[in-house]
Amino acid sequence: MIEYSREMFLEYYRSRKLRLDGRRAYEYREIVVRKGIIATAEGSGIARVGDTVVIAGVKIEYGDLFEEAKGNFVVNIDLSPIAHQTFVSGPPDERSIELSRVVDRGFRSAEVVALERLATEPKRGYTVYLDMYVLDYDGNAVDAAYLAGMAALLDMKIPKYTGETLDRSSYLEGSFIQNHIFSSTFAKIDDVIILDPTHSEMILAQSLVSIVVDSHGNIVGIQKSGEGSITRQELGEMIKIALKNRSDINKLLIGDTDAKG
Amino acid sequence: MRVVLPGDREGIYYMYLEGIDVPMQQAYIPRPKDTVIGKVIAEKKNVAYIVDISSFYAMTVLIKGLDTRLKQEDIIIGNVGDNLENLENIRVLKGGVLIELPPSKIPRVIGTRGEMLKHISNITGSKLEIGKNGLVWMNGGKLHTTIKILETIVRRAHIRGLTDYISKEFGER
Amino acid sequence: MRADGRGIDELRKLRLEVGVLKNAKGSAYVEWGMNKILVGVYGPEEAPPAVERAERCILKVEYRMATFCSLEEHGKYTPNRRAVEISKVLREALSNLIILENYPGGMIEVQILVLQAEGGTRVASFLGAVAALIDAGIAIRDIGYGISAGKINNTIVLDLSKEEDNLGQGDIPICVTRRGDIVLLQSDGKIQPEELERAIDMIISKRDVFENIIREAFMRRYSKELDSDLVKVI
Repeated sequence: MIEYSREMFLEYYRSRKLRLDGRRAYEYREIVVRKGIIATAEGSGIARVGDTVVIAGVKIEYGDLFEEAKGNFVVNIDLSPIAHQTFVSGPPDERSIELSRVVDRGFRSAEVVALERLATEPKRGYTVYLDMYVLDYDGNAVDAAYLAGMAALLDMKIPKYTGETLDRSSYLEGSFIQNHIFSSTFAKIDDVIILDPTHSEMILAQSLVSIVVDSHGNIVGIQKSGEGSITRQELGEMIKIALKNRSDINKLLIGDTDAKG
Repeated sequence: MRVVLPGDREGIYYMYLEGIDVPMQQAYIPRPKDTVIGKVIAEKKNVAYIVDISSFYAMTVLIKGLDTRLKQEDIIIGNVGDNLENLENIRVLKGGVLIELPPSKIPRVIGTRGEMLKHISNITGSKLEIGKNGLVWMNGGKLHTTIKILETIVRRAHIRGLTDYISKEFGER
Repeated sequence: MRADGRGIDELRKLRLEVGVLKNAKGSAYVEWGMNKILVGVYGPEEAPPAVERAERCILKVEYRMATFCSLEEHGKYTPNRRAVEISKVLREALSNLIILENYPGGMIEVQILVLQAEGGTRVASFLGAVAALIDAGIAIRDIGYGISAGKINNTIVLDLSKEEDNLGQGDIPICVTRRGDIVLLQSDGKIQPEELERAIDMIISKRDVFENIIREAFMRRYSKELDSDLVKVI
């Protein structure tokens, strides 16, 4: 636990252009991503951003489709009680629900998974469950979740439906991934904008903005949360940084770089 | 380097490294006269303040005898009273950064006769207050370096040559 | 004789690492057979005000399974009855080891998350919890461990794999203290009293194996700079 006031953060940043962990405003903490770590899942990934760790696992089912001729895609993220003293089990609170929906949005808007190819009949097909668990938490679960989720989807294999059941030892040929996405989360503390906030920075922020971009330079998801406001210029600056981060991803990653897009 | 586990011998309830008298990890249990740091979390109107010291019970600061009022979220340093309930001789720590370290590493942060503490202040210019309960408060100087040094001490408390390592990594001022 | 070629008292591959999480006060990661289980410990902290100030510390144990932990179908998001029962028996087992009287009015929380499951998750969780509690610096009377015994072709065997559990005649998870006191005991299937005695004997005889596993996990952790990186370890 590290705690300091907003005044402390601002005073330190304004005089040194450094955050309390020694980072500059747009500097990421160390990022490590690995995939293929859970054999029982049909795809898995794990990502660490600083001291925040998120694991993602894919499970495939077969059945009725929600939407005609499109496979189902269900994304869920769990703020596991193991990750932080303030996370409790039980029905998800608004923070948990918002997080799940924010993470879902990027994958869905970017059409990362080719869902049309997962319908075998107009009303029947595959369901891709992408479930994430925060295992250790020090702020910015969103970016870690996107990294872990992307790794899990890149690792994904779809078991063949035999007509009766899913044969989880035999898989469909080819890749079902048609886009790669990357998320950048910013915190705004007074007029200072920082990338990849720690937990102590997040609680001082009046606004948090997550920007998800794909490999074509599209913005595929934005979420602003918090009771503060952001200016047009600030938003423009954040988008620029988010796009730059997306193309810098190879430099940012250590560990299993197969997970990059 | 041998590891001693709870139950290896009578009276052993924690994990030790053979040759080092203090356990490698030990949750804090308040003792009289301990200096601890805590945060005010509540007030019993005109009677006392309740202070969270990150242990299995909160301490009490009696309002009678205080020359200043405290408010919620105030960080204070004080001594555990003989009754193990009250915090005495309290001072308010304004501003600064509060960090929580494993209590078992605190002796290493202080060092023999306070040498490590002096070493840290010399390097970074920060002023530090140390609680036996693992809470450390710091203000002034290169705080981000002070935090990094403390984290290094926690990671290397059991390794020889820590003082020299810190000099090498973080340089003398 | 056994499907995977193991001897009747031979354990599956077992790996224990401690101190793998930054936030939890203590943590452990267990790989046992195909099981991958993460345990985090919080506390001792003040018990919630709703609870009466007790003479002993309250222990809360929560056993949860990730939706992707099974080779079969996608799991449910809410805890099922099995998970609730396992949480209870683990809590009761661990209560014997923790010196709860040291922390009156307090609360200790053990969080267990099964990332990958393959038979014997509760005894693997018990081992992880013991290691995580020591890592958290919580006062423990003695170490403990557990093994799931089973009955295959009328023979008692140790450490059932998932296949053996499904096809065998009984599943007997037992957790003991190092001294040999039984703190968790369950069984299903049909077993003779002598067979239960045999299972207990065989489990007690594995004491040194588990003592070494726990000791070596802490030795590895302290043989170098402390490094809490689950991503490196999993």
